[in-house]
Amino acid sequence: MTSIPIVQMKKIYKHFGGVVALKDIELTLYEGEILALVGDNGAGKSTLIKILSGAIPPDRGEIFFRGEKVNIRNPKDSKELGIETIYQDLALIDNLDVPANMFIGQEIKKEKLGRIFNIMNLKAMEKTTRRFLDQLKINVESLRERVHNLSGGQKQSIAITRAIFFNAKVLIMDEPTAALAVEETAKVFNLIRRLRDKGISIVYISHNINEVFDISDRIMVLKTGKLVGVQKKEETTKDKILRMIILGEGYQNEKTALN
Amino acid sequence: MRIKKLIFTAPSFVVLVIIFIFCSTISPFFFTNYNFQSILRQIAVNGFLALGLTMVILIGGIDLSIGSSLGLVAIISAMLIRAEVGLIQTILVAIIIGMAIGVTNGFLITQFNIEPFVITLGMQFVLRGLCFSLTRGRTIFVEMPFNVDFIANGDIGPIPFPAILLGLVYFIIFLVMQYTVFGRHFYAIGGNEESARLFGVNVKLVKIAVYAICGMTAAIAGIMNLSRISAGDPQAGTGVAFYIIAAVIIGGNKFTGGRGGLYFTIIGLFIVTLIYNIIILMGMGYYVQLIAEGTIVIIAALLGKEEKQ
Amino acid sequence: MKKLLLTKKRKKSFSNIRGPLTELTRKPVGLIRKYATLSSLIFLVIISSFLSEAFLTSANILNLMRQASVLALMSLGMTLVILSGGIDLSVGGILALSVVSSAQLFLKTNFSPYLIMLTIALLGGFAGLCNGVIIAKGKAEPFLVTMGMGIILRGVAFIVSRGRTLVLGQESPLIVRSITHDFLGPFPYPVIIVGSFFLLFALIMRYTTFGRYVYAFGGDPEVLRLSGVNVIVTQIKIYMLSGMLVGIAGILHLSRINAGDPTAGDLKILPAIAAVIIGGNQFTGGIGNVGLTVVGILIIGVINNILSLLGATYYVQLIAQGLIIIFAVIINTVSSRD
Repeated sequence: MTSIPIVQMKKIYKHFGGVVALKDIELTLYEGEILALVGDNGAGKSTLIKILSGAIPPDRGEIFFRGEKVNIRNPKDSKELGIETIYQDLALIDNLDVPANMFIGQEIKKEKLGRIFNIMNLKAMEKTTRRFLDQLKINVESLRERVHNLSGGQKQSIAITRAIFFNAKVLIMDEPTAALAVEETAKVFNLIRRLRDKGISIVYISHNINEVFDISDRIMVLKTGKLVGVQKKEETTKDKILRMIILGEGYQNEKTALN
Repeated sequence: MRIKKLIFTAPSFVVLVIIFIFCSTISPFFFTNYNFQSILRQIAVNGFLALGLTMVILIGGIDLSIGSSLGLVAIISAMLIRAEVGLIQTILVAIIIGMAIGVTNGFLITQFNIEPFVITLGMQFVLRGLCFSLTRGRTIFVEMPFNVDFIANGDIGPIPFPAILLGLVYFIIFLVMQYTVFGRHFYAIGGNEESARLFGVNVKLVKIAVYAICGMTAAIAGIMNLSRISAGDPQAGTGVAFYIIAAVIIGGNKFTGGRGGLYFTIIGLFIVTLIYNIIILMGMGYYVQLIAEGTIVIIAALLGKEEKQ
Repeated sequence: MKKLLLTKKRKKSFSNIRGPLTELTRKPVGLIRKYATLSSLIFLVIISSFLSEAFLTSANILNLMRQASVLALMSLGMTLVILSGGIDLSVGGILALSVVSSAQLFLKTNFSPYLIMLTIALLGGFAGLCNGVIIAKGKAEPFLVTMGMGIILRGVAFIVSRGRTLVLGQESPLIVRSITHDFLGPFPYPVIIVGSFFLLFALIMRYTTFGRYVYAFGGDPEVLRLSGVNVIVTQIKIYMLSGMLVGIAGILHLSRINAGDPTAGDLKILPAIAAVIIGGNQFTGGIGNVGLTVVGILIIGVINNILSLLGATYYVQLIAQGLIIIFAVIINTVSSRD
């Protein structure tokens, strides 16, 4: 962990109609760490990462990337920074095949004339997809079928592959193992750890306290739109975290924002 | 209190009031008995179609075949009346035909889980083709016995009979919706179809029933049409489906279903009819009506969109 | 979507095992949709050739295709719109406006016919642009927006034509008349024109990013947006292209009828949609291609043709069309279930 955070979100405020989803939220993410983002339903976790990923704009607040202020207005902006997101439930486009999903938004185009008219190089995309999947030992038989028929784990793996092979420096994952079997979850965790070791920073949202303690380095707790606190995993216990989630009990060493 | 509730749940009501005031001030012919009667008569004929279609839209469906159902029923009824079959029997046959069409639509939609748009699109072609086939393309002119003629052209006191009939049918359906199991199931499906199914509602059956009702109201509209023009016209009802959809949506019903009600539809009908009326009274061309109508539909579409996030 | 938007937000069924990229060099993988409709067409053609000896003559076939040209172009644009999960009910109004506008331009001005035709195509594109902007930026239902727009445009068509049918008569320039009546080799011009457009769009849909995004939008527009694609621009382009194609169809129509009628196209909206569906495209979007629409157009064309060759009245054609739509959609829906 280096000392300059790769991502910093300051004083993030977001409301929907009359409901305040996020109030004065601060998020700090260091390079090469796994930060777990936890909280009860409606705590604002999904909203916060959607702001970081450009899916929705914040009402107030600033975002810094490697110390520099950035303006993330749409998903493309955050991708250009190297922030890739894997959303819960919204991983792939079912009626397209695997290479199409792998390269959606950043298709390989044919030379010269192809670039002008946006003509795709289908062979190259298929070959590259096969290479990516083989490297990560992900098993998908035919690349030409619609992804609709794949299992939840396969889909999730493809989504993760897509994220990491496009120069992700920051990977945001919203409950990636929610729909997965135990074995698939273990595979995904191994993948995540390997990514962390490569220096990729990961924000990991989960409801599962055991998972959180398994995989994360630091744990950030939200409750009803406010930041309860941030703890290093080694310095806290499941019980304390649960109390933070449920009761909103804050701690001294980080900012508490209750009442 | 009731009025307040009406305004706040139906912004279209405010629009209607504004249009009404505008019409009253701009044309001296507007605020006359004769004009009001003619407006009511017009609404009444379309009102039946709109009634059934509203119910279909509220459960998230659509029915493009109402216009051709109207035409077919009008033609068959014309034939029956010409053959001196009594009014009551004719009406009965008409309603049965309408119900059969509706049940067929509903069955195909629910059984195979196919988009209502496509099924009713196909049905519309079939029925329209039947209209022409039965009449060999010509209009069947029939001498209307008094009782048939009265349906569309008669009055009870100052109020045109069709309006009274429409009010009656609306009231009956209102009672059914409020006080029967069917009504509760209907709203459940409109709210959340999947939840309704999980709660034990027989979604398929209710849907078929709703399409059947739509067919039946189209049949009544067919008889109304026959009475009004004293003829079975194979082209009757052409293109009316879109016009009625416009009225239903302009009134404030949600296109994807779930929110709205019959009173929204009535408001929408009034808005569209008043605009048509004032344009005629002011002597402006047909095209003004078209442009006005189209613009209102688009505005209604923009206003009635789903809440994002 | 779409539908219809009329389409509620429901889980779409993509359980077909065919991908959207089926090139001739690849092995076709279970093309149930394509085979079902294509074999129906072949079956129809075979039966028709037995039913009437006039059917399988080149004159008849070419005439059939010529008559289907206007509808075919409308259906081409409609295919893109439907694949994206939307619908375009304004095609009738755009056709009417194109027809009367081009008629007026030919009658009242001395501009080059090519310039006029280009203008009309752009006019159609502009109408589509309006549709697209309201739908994409206004986030309004395509069904309602295009329905309203169609009504408005028909009103405008009435204004432009002053409510009359504008007869071109002798005024129509040679090029306009030749569009319908001349041949390129053995093929009538309309067939060449329409065929070229279909080919062009087939390539666009298969090989360009825009084409892929149309399918993606029909599958899941939100995921597409989150993938960094500008979905608003994509959706606007789709409706713009549909409008432009209808504008060109208007020129073909004018050429054929030699008159500008403000009520043109009114009865073509639903058949244009029908062709797309009969061909096997999924109404809720995401699955299908322009080739299927060709099959749909031909099926409708053959049915209409053989029925009129047999002396059956136009009404029977309507009934046949309706039954085919229903059967086609049932077969396609049922066969794509696991």
